[in-house]
Amino acid sequence: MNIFIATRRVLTKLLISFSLLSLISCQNEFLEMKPDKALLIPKTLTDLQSLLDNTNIMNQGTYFGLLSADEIYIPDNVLQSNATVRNIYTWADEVYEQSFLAPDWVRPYQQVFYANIVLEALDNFENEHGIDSESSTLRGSALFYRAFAFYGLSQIFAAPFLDGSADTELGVPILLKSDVNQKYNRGTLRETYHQVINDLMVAETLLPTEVSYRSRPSKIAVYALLARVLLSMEDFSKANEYAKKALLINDALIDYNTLDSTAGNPFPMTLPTGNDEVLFFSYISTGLSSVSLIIDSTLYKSYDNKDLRRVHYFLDRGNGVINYKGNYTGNSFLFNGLATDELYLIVAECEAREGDVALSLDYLNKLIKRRWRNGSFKKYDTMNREEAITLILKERKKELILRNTRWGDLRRLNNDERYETTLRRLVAGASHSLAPRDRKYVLPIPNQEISISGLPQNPR
Amino acid sequence: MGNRIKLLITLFTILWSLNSSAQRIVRGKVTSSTEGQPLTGAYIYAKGTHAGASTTSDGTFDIKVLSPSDTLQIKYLGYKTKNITVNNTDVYLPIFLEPNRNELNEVIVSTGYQEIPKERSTGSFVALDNVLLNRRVSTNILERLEDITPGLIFNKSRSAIGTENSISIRGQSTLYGNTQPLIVVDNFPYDADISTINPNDVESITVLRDAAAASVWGARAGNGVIVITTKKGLKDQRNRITANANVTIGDVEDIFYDPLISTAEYIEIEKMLFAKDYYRAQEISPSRTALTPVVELLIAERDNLLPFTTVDAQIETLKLQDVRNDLRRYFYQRSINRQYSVNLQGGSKRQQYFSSIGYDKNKYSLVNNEFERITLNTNYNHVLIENKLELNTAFYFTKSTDRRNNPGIESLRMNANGLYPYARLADEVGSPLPITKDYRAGFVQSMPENGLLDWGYRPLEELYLTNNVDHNTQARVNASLKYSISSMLDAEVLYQYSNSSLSYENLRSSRSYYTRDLINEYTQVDGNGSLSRPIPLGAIFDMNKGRQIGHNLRGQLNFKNEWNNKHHVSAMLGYEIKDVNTARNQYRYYGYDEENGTPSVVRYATNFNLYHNPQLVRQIPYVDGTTELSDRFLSYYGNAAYTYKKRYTLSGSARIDRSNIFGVNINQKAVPLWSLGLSWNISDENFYKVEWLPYLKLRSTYGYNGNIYKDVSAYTTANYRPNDNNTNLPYAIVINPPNPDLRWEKVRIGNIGLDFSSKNQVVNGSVEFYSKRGIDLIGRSPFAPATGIITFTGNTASTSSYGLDINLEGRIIDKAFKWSSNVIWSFIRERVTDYNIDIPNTNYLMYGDGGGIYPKKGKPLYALYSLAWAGLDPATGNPQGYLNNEVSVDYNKLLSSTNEADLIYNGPAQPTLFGAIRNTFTYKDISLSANISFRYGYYFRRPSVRYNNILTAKGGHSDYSKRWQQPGDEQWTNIPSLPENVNVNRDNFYSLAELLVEKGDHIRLQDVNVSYMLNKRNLPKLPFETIQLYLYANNLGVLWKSYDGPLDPDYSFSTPPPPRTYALGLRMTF
Repeated sequence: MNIFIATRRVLTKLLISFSLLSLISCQNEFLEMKPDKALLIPKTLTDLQSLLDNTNIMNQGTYFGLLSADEIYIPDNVLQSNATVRNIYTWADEVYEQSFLAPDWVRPYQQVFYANIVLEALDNFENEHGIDSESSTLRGSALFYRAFAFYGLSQIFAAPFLDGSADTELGVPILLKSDVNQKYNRGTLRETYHQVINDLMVAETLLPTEVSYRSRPSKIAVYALLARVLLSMEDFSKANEYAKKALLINDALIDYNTLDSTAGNPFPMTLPTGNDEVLFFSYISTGLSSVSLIIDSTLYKSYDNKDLRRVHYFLDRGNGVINYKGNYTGNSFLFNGLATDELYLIVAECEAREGDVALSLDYLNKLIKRRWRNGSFKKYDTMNREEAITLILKERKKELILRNTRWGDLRRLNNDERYETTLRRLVAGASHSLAPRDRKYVLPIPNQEISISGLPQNPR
Repeated sequence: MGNRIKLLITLFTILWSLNSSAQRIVRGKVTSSTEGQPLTGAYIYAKGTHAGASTTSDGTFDIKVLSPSDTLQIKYLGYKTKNITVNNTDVYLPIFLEPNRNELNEVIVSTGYQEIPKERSTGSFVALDNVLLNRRVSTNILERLEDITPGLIFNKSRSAIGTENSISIRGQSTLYGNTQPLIVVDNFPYDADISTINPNDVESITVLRDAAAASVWGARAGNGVIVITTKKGLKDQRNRITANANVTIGDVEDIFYDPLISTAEYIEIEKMLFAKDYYRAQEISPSRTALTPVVELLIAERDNLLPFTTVDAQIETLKLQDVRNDLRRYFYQRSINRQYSVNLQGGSKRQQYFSSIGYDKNKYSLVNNEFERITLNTNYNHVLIENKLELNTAFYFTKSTDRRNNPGIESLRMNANGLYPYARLADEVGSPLPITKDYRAGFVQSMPENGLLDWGYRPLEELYLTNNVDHNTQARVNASLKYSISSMLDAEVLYQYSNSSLSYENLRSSRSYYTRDLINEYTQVDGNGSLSRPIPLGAIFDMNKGRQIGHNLRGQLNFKNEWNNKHHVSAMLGYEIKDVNTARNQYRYYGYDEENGTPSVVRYATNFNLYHNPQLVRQIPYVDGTTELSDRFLSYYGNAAYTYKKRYTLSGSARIDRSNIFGVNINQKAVPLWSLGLSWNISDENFYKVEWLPYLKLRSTYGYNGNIYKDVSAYTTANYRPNDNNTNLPYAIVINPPNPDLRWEKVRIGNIGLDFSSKNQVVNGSVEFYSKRGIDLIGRSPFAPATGIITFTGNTASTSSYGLDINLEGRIIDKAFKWSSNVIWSFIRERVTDYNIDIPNTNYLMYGDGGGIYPKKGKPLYALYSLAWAGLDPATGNPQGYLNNEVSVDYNKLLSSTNEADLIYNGPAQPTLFGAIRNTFTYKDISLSANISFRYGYYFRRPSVRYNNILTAKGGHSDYSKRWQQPGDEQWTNIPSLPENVNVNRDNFYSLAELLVEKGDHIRLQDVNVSYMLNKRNLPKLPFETIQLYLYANNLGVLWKSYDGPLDPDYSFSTPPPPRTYALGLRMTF
C-alpha cells in the first residue's frame, strides 16, 4: 500500500516538475537555434567583406556592348542557335525573347543591392562600435562597386552623355537603399553620372591606396574609374587629372617581350596580384565560346608584324578564323576591369585634345614601346593635334580590344563627325547597319522590369 | 492496523476456499454462425475464475469455470463478442459467433495522439486495415495507399516528375511550402525516409483529412496526416508466428516509349547540317569538342582522307543501328524483388510482445542496380501495476543499401546532347565498344602514345567500374509510461530517440571514365614535354555522410468519464518538444588506393591549364563541405469531446506550435491552430424509423491546420560559401531579402460527412463534402530586377478548393459465393484565389502545368493553357496563330502577349475526378480481387517535334517525318515545316498550340490479386494454422482513354509508365 502511494506521489511530482520545467525554462534559447548553421544575418565586418568578395556577382561586368560593337564578328551558325545574341549583334528592333532576363540589367543591380546591404549594415555597425579603418574600407568598397555598376548600366541602357541633353535624357534608376519595396524612377542622365562621381569621390577618401586582392577596390581604382567616367563625359581636363593621379601611384606596364606567346593564356593570372597593370579586376562571361568570337580581319591586319600584341592577343586558326586570347584575367574569361594601359591612353588623348601634342605622344610612346618587339618600335614624332587624336584613337582601339570599352568609345566619338563610325554586319546574307547617334545605341530594358516597375522603355 | 490485516487474510482465505471448492471444467466448440466453420484461436475468458483459454484448430476448448454458474466471454477478431452464462448442467457448449458486420461502427481510428472509436468522432478519417494493406505487394508502404484511400491521389503529372510517391490528400493548399502529408509512425512524426519501414510490420493506417482529425498535428497538418501504426502484441493472445515470402518479377521498362526520329533521318539531318557548315565551330574548337562518327566521316570525305564510296557505305551501315536495342540488351533486365518476413506475436494479461525480422532484395530493371533492406522490430508492453502503470518499449532497426551503378539511358550523352542513335555499345560477341563522348575521336585515339591514360568511354564497361551506393541505417527507440491516476485520468510520457545515418558513397575506380577523364584533363606538360599529374593516379572516392538525430518527448494527460450513461467526456492535454538535428559532410579523396584505402594529397586552389585546351584554366574540383540543420518545435495541444446520449458529440481541439524559424521574433514563431466539430447519430433518435437504413450519422467540422515554410526570414539572410572561384577566398551570397511581415501558412478546412449503413450492411458508406482555403500562402512573384532581386517570396497568395469524397462498400452476393464491391470516388475543384502578379502568358503556357509554379488567379494551381491554332500556312508550312483575331506568324508577339484573351485555358493539369472500383469475389478458400482505377477531368500536352533540336543536331520527335514539306501537305498534316534557321519562338508557339492539348481521362486496370487459403481445419495434416498462396499483378494497363495516341496520359513526359509486375507469395501462420 505504502509503496503504491509513494510511487504515485513520485510520479505525480515528476509529471508536475517535468511540465513546469518544460514550460518555463530555456524555451526561447531552444528556439534560437539556427535552422541552418551556414546562415547569417550580415552584421560583422567579416560577413560584409564576404558579401563583397563574391566575385561572381561583384566583379562581373556587362557584355551587350561587346556584342554590339565593331571588334568581332560572330559566325552564322552560332547566331542561328542563339536568338538574343543575334538580335543584339544585328541591332534588331526586338532584342529579347519574351522572358529573357538580360544579365546586363540584372547583375549590376545585384551589385547595387549587395552594396546597399553592406552600407546599411555598416551604418549599424559604426553606430554601435564606432568607425574604424576596416569599416571605412568596406564603406569605400561598397560605394565603388555601386558606382561601377551604375556606370556600366548607363553605357548600355542610357543615352551617351552630352552636356546639352543630360538634363532631358533618361538615366538609369538610382537605388540607394536595399529595401526591395522602394519606389524608383529613371531620373535624368545627369543624375546618374552625378551619383557615380559622388560615390567615387566619397570612396576616394575611405579606401587604401592599393590593395592585395585586385578584386577589391582601392584609391587607385577610384582614380582610374573616374578617369574613364569623365572621359565618357568628354571632361578631358578632369579625366586627365585623375588618370595622372592614378599613374602617379602605379605606372607599371608589362613588357610584352617577357611573355610567352605560345601559351594558352599569355598573360599572368590577375588574382590575387599577378598582373601589374591591373588596378581593378572585373570579368565578363558572354556564354559564348572563344571560338565564336572572331576578330575582324581588317582590325587584325592593322597590328604590325613587329607588334607583339598580334601574337599575344590573337590565335590565327587559319581559314580567316582569328580568335582572341589576350585576356588580362589570365584565364578564359574576358577582362573588363581597370588597368594602367587605359590610363596612358586617356592621358594621351586628353593632352592632345587640350593641345599638348608632345606630352600626349610621350605617354603614347611609353605604352606602345612596351608592346612592340624590343628595339623595333619607332617613336611617334611631331604631328598636328588632329593627327595625334586620330592616331591615339586608333591605338586605343587596338590596345583595349575586347575590354568592353569600345562600345562606350563609339557612343562618345559618334558625337563628333570627324570620328564617327557606321557599323555594318552581314548575317546569313542579310546586311545590317547602325548609323552614328542612332537610338539603337541604347538597348531596351528587359520586359520584366518594365512590366512590374513601369519604368519608361528606351525607344528603338 | 493489525486487525485490518487479519480481516483481509480471513477474507482472502474464505474467497480462495470458495473458489477452489466450486470449480469445474467445461468443454465447448466455437463455430461461425454463418458458415459453420470452427474458429481457431478464439479467446475464452471465464469471469468467475479469471481463467482464459483459446480454441484449438478444430474450434474446441476447455476451461475452468465457477460452479454453480459462471459467465464466459468469447472473443474472436471479426466476430461479435459473446457472453454466455454457464450453468451447472452444461458440460459441452456449442458456441456460435456472429460475424461482426457492423465494422463501420467498431472501427478505432488513431490520430497519433489518441485512439478514438470512429462512432464518437466528428472528423474525417480513413481507416485502412491490415488485410486491405496486404492486398498489394510492394517494398514501400506508402504505395499501398494508392487507389484505396478516398481523396488521396498519387500525382503523376509534370509537377511530380522526379519525386517518388508524391501524394496529395484533397488537393494542394500551398504553393511553395511543403506539399507532402505529414507521416506519423507510432505516435511520432517520421522524419526519416519512409522506405525504411517494412510493410509487413504495419498493422493499420489512418489517414486524417480534415481540421478536426488533423489539427492536433498543428503546423504540420496542412497537407493531411498519414498515421501508421505498427503491429503490437495483444492481450491474452497465444503465440503466433506469421511468415510471409514473395517474389515480384517486372517487365523491362519500355525504352522505346518516347517516339524519336529514325536513325536514318538523324543521319540525313547531320548531312544537311554538315553541308550548311554547322559543325565548323566545333571542328576548330580548341576544346576538341566531340563530333559524331557520321560528322567525322563527312569531314574525312571533305578533306579527301576517305573516298566517297567508303564513307557512304559506312554511313548506310550506321543507318541500320539503333542504340536502344543495345541498351535494351545490355542495360536493362527484368526486375526481381524478393521479400521475406517473419514475426512473432503474443501476449498475456501483463505482457505483450511483437518481434519481427524482414529482408528485401530488389534487383532493378537497370542492370547492376539493386536494393537491399533488413528490418528488425521489437515491441514489448509490460503492465507493471495492473490497471495502474504500463511500460511500453519498442526498438526498430533498419539497414538498407541502394546500389545505383547504372545511371540508365539519360547518362549516355555526347557533349551536352543526347547520344547519337547509331552508337554501338557492344560488338557481335558482346565486348564493350567505345562511343564518342567529350572529345574528338582522333584526339582520344592519340592519347596513349602521348603518355596519357586511355581516354575512351565504353558505357558497358562503366557499369562495373563504379560503386555507387546509398547506405541508410536507422535505429529508433520508443518508450512510454502510462499511469492511471484514477479511473478517469491517465498521465503518460512518451519519448522517442531516433538515429539515422545516411551515407552516399561513390567510388569511381581508377579505370572508370570519370577518373581517367579528370586525371587526363589536369595532366600538365612542361617545357621539355614531360608529364605530371596534379590529380594522382588512383580512384576518386566521393562520400557524403549524414546523420540525423531526433528527440521527441511528449507529456500528456488523458481524461475520460461517463455519467448516467448519458454524458461521455474525453479530453487530453499535452506538451511536446521536438528536436531533429541533421548534419552532412561531403568529401572527396583523389588518388584513392582501393587496395589499401589511402587517399593522396592534391593541390587545391592552384590554377592548371587543361590538357585538351590549355586556354582553359581550372582548379582541381573541390567538393568538400558540411551542413548542419536543426528543426525544433515546442507545442501545446489539447482536445476535448463531449457526447450526449451517444447521439450528439461536440469536439474541439487547439494547438500552438513554436519553431526555430530564423530571424523572426519569438511571438511570430508561434501559430495557434484550432478546430470544432459536431456529430449526430440520427439513427439513434426515437423519431428515426427508416428500417432499410438502420445507421445514419451526420458530422461536421471546421478549423485550421498549418503548413511550414522555413526558407524565408524577416531579415536579410546570407549564406557562407567556402571558395570563390577567382580569389579562393570564402565569400557569402544573399539568399533572401528581408520580409518583416512573414507569417506561417494556414489552411482552413470545413467538412460535412454522412455515414450510413443499410439493413444487414448490404451497403455501407460515407459521403463527405469539404472546402479548404489556403491562407497567407507563401507566393513567389517575379520582381523588378532593379531592386536587386528577380523574385520575391512572401505571404501573398491564397487558394480555395472544395470537393466530394465518396466511399461505398457493397455486398452484392453474400452466399457461399461472395461478391463485394468497393467504390471510392473523389471530386475536387481547386483554384488560386489571390495572386496579383501578371506575368507574360508564356510562363503560364510553358510551365502552368507543373513545370514551375505560375499561379493564375481564378485557375487551378496546375493548369494547362494553350494558344489558338490557325493551321499551317499553305505556302510555307509555318504554324499560324491568331493575334487580335488576325492570322499571324509573329511568334514573339503571340507568345509575349500579356492579354488574357489570347490565352486559352484548357483545364486542370491534374485529375479532378478520380477513384477506383475494387471487386472481390470469394468462393470458399479462393478469392479474386481486381482494382480498376479512373482519372478524369484533366489535360496534358502531347510532345511533338522541336526544330531547335533538329537543327542543333540533337535529334527529336518522330513527328518530324510527318512534317509539311510542300504545298498541299497542310491537307493531311499539322506538323510545321523545317525552318531554315533555329527559331525558338516558332517552336514554342507550335508546341504550345491548342492542337497538341489532349484530354487525360482514362480508366486503367491497376492490379489483380488472387489468393488461395488453406486452413488446418480442412487439412488437419497441415503443419500450419493457415497458409495463403497469393498472386498479384500490378500496372496491368490502360483499359480506356479519351485520347487516341500512343501515350499513357499519366506518363506524357517521356518517362515510360511503370512496367507490369507479377508477384507470387506465400503467407503462413502457425
